[in-house]
Amino acid sequence: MRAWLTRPIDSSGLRAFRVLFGLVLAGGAVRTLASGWIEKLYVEPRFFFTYWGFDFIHPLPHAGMIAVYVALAALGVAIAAGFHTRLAAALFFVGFSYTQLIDVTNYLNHNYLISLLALLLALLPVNTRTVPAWFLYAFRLQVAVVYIYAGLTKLGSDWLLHGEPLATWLSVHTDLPLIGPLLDERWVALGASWAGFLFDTTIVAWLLYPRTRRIAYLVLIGFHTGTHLLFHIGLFPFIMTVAATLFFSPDWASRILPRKPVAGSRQPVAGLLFLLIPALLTLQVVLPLRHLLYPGGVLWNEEGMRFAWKVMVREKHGAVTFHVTQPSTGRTVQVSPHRYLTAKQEREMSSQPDLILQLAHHIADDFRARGFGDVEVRAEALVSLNARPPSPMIDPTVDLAGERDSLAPKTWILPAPEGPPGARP
Amino acid sequence: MKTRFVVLFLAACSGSGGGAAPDAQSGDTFDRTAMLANLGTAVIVPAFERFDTSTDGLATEVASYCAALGSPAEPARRGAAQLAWQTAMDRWQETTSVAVGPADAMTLRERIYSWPLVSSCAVDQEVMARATMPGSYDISTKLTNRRGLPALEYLLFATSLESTCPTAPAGWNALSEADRRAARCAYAADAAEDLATQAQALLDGWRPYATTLANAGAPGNPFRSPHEAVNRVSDGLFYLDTDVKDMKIGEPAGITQGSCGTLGAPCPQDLESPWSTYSKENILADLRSFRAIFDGGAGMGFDDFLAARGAATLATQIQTDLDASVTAVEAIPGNLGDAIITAPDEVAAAFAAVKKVTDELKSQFLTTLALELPEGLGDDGD
Repeated sequence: MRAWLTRPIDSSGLRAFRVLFGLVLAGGAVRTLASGWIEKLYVEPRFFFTYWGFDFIHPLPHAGMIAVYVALAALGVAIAAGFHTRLAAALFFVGFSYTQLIDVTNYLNHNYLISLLALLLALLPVNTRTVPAWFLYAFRLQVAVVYIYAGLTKLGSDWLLHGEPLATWLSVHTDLPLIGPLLDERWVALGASWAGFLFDTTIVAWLLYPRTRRIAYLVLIGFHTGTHLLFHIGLFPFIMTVAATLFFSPDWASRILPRKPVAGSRQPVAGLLFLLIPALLTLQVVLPLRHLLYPGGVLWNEEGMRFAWKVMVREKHGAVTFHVTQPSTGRTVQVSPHRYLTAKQEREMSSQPDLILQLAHHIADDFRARGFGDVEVRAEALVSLNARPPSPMIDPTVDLAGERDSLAPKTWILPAPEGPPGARP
Repeated sequence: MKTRFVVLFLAACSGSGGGAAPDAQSGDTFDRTAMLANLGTAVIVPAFERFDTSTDGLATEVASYCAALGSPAEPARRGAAQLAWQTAMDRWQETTSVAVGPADAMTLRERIYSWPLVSSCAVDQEVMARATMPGSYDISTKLTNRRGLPALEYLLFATSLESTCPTAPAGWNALSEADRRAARCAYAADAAEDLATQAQALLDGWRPYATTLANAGAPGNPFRSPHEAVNRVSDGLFYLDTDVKDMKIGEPAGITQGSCGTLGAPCPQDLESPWSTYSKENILADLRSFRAIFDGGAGMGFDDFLAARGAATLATQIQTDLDASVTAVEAIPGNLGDAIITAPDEVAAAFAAVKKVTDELKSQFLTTLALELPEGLGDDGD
């Protein structure tokens, strides 16, 4: 087994991936700079939702964040060019992860994937003529985890029996020429849902099997082109189209890329990496399953939602109002989230209980700072999941200011609504 | 098996997917372009036409009032000017659910109605500045909190001739009462003329913009698709949440946090129209504005969009709750400024009634129609 894993294989495929991935990273950073998102994501918000254990991370001033993204673009080019690849990838991993850790409401599955792939590129030297086979398998496993879990998460009645939320999303495009009228047909939504489910769960196998690889990749390009055109999912289609090349024969790019190894690269040393990489990948396999430890549905309680490749599986909007009570006087005031959040933050917070808890704590801190003393903060949250009638998501009797965030199940999350999506009262 | 999978899959890739909610009828494609055309030409432009007309009437009445200063007709002319202001205010508030279009691009909204950025002291200062150099004074160059409907409210309704500034503008206290009245009236006349000019500019901007809205998705159109334009139009409905519910009702009543720094206590300084005691009527006009956009008048509106998406029940529920909101606001005794002290339960009931609508708006309305909250477009998601 060890001999099989460590046997040398042609690295041209991995290097081709490195080039394409680096270009996507650079393009993504330039896109962020050009779109004005830096101001929107890092300057406009007055409050940032932090990840557990990372509350020391704060945004730099506007010019600083611009500098970070300029640096990320340059590092993307360096990765593509193979210029000090591991150092460039390591710096990219640190810099990009920093930008993502600033505010939970900016979480995107594909940004998480970018960080993970950058980390692998930082840890595994791929610029030599040959690499141990397990280098390639490590990348493949990471990408396979994304596809397969993205497929498995669709294994539910909303997606497979009702075609939601795809039906809602596709209906936005009924004005498209030729296919537009079809997009409001339920049978088409169901067909697309099943196709998406089958694609995600099986595409890795089709790509690995040499006889189906060519057609599978064409289908993959079509799939990701379609999702790019129909949905606002940023770099995801590009990253996955590039990442799928990892399933090609290891030497598929040997005719394109220079045969000589890039100057300065050294033969890899297994050692610690041989333990570290499997540990990281094991974590990737286990982490998406953690929602099974929590009662209720993950699409509703969101416990185990992030870092689990639950891609495009829910349309969720909520109306949240906080009720702040001063115990000493018994007086209560209602607080709308928009007093503290941008519209984007409010949208994300309104459907995610842990973020509602964070904002409740922040509101309590704010009132305390303004001289009202200790206050109780309760949340009235009406949430609509996949077009169901809105249901209360948070127990309105619980003082969230007194609740601590932890990995334990949140007992103040109310049960998910029953009934099919889109059901009318 | 493989071929079947590929065919099914390619159908998905080509964009084939469903749109109707599960209980919707198949093939109920909703014509967003027709809805946009209706809202633009049959609802929004006529609303701005009515506002434009009302500002012309206001300018005329203010001029008449100024001409009658010192005469026996003064009280009647002042009353007529106040009535004209209320009419203009009604017509303006009936457009508050319109967040798209030239009003924002041209900063016309602030020039017409800068609330809550208002300052009677700043208006006092401008009154004195104009009185000092009437020949060269140009109101169109002044900050928005010294112009428009809020300035006119203060000038037409304030009964005291004392300055509201901590220190009166230089020369003000030396003026006789008649001169002060005349100075305020002259400034009001300027403000009313300026308001009429802005209203005309807004209408001139909206007439072609209605066509832009109706052609959303066409080459060169600022909206990439009709749905994007619908989303932008829907942004205006959220004025009911942020401004009407929270600021116009909640903050003065102490239900939401106001500027007084108190908790759960009334905050009269946050009233929208304190000089005219017209705050309650403003809210009712806001609700009419919401209804016009939601219903689309006699044509297609968001209620029809919801029905086409299989959510006719939700549309009816929102309309019912909107009716209940109107009833609850009308049930507030007297004016809002008094009611927040004497009838807090009725005010709280009105707040709760409006909140019911906005909760529906922020949850199922958005998910059913695949819309985003205001300023929420353009983000990536997955």
